[in-house]
Amino acid sequence: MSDDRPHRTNSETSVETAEERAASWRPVFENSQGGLRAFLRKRLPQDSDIDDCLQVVFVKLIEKGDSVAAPALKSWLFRVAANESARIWRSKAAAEKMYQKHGGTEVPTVDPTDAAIQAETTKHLKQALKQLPDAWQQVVHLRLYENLTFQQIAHRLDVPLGTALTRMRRALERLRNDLK
Amino acid sequence: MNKINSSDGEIHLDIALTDDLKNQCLKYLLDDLDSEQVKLFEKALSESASLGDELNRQAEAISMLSEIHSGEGIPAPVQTDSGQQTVTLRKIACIALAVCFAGMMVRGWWQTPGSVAQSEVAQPGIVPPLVADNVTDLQPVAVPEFTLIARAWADNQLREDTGFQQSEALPDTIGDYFEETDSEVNDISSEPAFSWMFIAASEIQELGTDDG
Repeated sequence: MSDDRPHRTNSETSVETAEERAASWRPVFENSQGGLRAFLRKRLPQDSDIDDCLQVVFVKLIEKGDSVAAPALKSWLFRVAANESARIWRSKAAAEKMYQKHGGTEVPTVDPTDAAIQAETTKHLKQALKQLPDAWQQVVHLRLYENLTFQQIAHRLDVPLGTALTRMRRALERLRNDLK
Repeated sequence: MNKINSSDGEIHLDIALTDDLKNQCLKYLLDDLDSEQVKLFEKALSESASLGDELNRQAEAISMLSEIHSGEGIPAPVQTDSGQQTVTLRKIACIALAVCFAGMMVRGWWQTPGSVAQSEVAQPGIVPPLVADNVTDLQPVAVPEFTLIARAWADNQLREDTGFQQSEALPDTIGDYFEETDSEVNDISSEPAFSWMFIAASEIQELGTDDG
């Protein structure tokens, strides 16, 4: 996926039209669309909701794709899809309540405390990351920041492939638990 | 396969989330699967809610990690362990060297005569080390002066006593002396105690001959 991602300079970005940006990101999106659809199938009951959700994901990719690190791009897409599906559920539930009470007004979805929460989460995440075992940190570093494949990491660290994978997975689990 | 009770009361079958499947999740998110594996995984993903949840959890963690990015706070990989080991080994080697050096210093100090005498005074029960000298094969290093004087006097007396006994025995064995070789006679005459006895014995023999 990272190889398909368009690389642009700032000056090129500034003169690029929305259509060009969409066209440049389209291959990246299509590469993940099958997985995203399969993922959303268990989260949204209707195909129309899935299509709407995928459309939002694509728009966000065009808007913010440049700011996402290449190795994490697919994860980012799934995260956006998960958040969007949750928002659709909330919107539906809120809309139903609104229609029941007032006859329909859109519920604001933007929380002003989101930025503060995000900053605090990042701070805690950095601390949690430093407390991981060195061997786990090494795998995280090599995979996410040096963009090596797990096979390359296993070769570099002279460990079996399964060990490299397990270290990465346990690092993610530990970080998730620490942030709860 | 796990049985899951959904909200509508129906029982659905879901795949068990093994470590291998979780690893597949990770590889999928990080594009480490080949195209055939991707198809199989996406098929499983469309059928399993728990697999989707696991994928979502991993995706969230990876996204958060990528957002803090730049690798700050993460140690440089691979070389870290060997570098720490090298530093540790250097420290151990330095400590060992210092201990050896200190040991040699203490040993050197212990073997100097002054320090031994001091230690002997401080610890009278300890037998002092023996060293060779010209008089005896082995003697204690720290011998008091009065002992040395006494030993010299005794040696002198012993030599004098021995010479006196030989001079007393001389009349009985005087004939033998003349049968000895010249060199041995010269050796005997070289002793001051024997020189006057030799002259006296010669005079006595001459006198005896004249009488006869």
